[in-house]
Amino acid sequence: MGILEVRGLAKSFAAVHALKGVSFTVRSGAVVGLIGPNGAGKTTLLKCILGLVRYERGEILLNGRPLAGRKEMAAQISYIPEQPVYYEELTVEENLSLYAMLSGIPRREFAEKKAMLVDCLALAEHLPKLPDQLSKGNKQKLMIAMAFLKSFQLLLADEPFSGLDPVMIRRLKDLFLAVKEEKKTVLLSTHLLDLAQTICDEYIFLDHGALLAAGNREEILRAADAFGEEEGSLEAAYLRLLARGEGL
Amino acid sequence: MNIPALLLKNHLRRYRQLLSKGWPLAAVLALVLFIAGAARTLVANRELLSAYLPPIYTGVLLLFAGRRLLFLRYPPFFFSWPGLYFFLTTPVNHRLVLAGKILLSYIPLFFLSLGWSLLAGQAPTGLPGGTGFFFCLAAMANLSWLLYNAAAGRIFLRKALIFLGITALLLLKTPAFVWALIAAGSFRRALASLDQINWAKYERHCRLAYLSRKYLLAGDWGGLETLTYEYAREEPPATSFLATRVYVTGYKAFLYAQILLMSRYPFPAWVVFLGQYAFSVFLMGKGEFLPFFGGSLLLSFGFAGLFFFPVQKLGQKMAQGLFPAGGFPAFLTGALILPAAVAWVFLAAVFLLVPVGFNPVWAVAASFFPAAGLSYLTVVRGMFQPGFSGWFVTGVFLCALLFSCIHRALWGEALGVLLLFIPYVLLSGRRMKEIYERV
Repeated sequence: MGILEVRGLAKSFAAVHALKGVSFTVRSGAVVGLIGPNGAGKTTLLKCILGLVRYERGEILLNGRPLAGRKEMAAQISYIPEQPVYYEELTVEENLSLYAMLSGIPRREFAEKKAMLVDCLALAEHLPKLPDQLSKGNKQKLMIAMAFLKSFQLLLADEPFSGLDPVMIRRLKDLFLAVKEEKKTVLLSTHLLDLAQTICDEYIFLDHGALLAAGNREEILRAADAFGEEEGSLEAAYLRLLARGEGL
Repeated sequence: MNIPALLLKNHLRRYRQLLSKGWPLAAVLALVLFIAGAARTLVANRELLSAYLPPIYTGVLLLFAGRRLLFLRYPPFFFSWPGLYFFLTTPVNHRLVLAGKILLSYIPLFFLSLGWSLLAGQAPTGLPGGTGFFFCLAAMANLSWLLYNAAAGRIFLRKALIFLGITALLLLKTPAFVWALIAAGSFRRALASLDQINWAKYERHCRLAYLSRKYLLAGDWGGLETLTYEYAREEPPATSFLATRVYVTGYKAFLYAQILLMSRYPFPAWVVFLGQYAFSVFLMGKGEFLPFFGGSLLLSFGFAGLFFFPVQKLGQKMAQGLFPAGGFPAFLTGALILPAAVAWVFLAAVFLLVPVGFNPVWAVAASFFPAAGLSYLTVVRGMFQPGFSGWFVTGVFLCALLFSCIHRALWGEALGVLLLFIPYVLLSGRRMKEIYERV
């Protein structure tokens, strides 16, 4: 049984079909790449899972059952939003403290996690600063730190590498791998296939709100009939799926 | 530090910038004192109070109900944008936080009801007191929240039915306990339907409210215009004041930009303008044609000068590629409101000070020709062109004179001014558009 099951999810914004009956299952303890071009429906899908967007049809199950309410959702799912959101008049440290307090993290655990995350994400010198004084990448690091403070079963990350330098991308990948080792799950939305290939176990390919393919590397290649092309490149499979999707 | 302390700290720091400026607070204080003074005079007159309170009571509540239940597209209360993100992604007691948020949104309603209670206590009207008033407002706020989150199907019908129900209850002079029951029931319903909240829409509106306030406090006109562009794409801008809130977007962004730029005028500039104004009134008060002519010319120049800088600044911004999101209508509306308000206030004083009995035909002639002449120079002659705001101001000036003439003179002469005024306004509109497009 997967940790997350999405069945026939459909969502429209006026005349635009953002999701067209998308179904897939996310295996527990995997890093899953949600791949698609801009406007594919990745963020809408993540927001549906978070309960932030009402969908017209379909079902979302966490551990085999629908989420009972917002509290349960917030307790089990952590989220790195695409756009940094923080209290602008509180320092980085105060933002982290507030988030930890609202998440019900005990003081000692918070201190330990904060020390680890601050070290890993090189945030130490920025702790006394207001977030607006930070660069785009450092703001992103604040959002990542907040998401990792919380205990979770499933981490939804919406373009988490945006604005990060290569060193930080490496460290964030290490964080995701550490999550995986703890048997927790990451659903990573990105349009950077190269980056996703270095970290993801499975992939969900979306385009124009439709599911193109889902599964591990071999399954994706098989679905795209891309074995033998450029040594079985996932990129070739992706492009082939996208081209096929045009006719959808 | 605990959660409330951190949230309070954030609020205080946020408004620190505004508090440090002082002048908006002084303006608000002056306004409050003015209203309090006017209200005191009204309250002292019990007969007047007894006669006017019942229609005011029903009218205010119907307006409130109509706005909240039928037209308003925004929720009755907001989370800050980061507040909403923290609220949604952490396992707090969401129902409790929502209850607190709804209850906090009642604070302004409480003060309104307190004011009503004090007013109603001054004269026998037979109307419900402050308690009934409060529960009535609270019930409407709760119902508007439920309607805001309701599914789109038959929403207009539901809105209309609820509004009609509320209207009937108001006209039937429903006692306070009924309003209390409705308020309590709708409050309970609001809490019970936590999972039916349209979070996507609510987040979008919280973000709009949060960012527009942020840009306003920071004096960031570019940010306000960007926000207007962004939201105009998602939902058409509300045209009626009944459907909007205090978001400083569209024409309001330009109006605010004007206020902001004018607030940065050095003190001596205001002294010069007021001196010019006082001298104009002195000249016009002589009751002879030539001084009146000179005074009105000086006054026109004063107003045009006062509103010159904001429009010049807009021209510069537009040359850099920043166009008002609402286009020409937003620009025109935003550009007109402040000069109109200022001109009305100053001209009201002129009409009070200038002796009655002065031949209105001369007044029209002496006021129209300098104003029109200045406008002509502003539009046609390159040297005055950047200050085309004078064009609006003189139009407003003429409009005010028209009403003055209606008040003071024969209808025939008023009609004469009107005939002059209509082509003037039409030509002004065309000319302003040409200039706007050329910038």
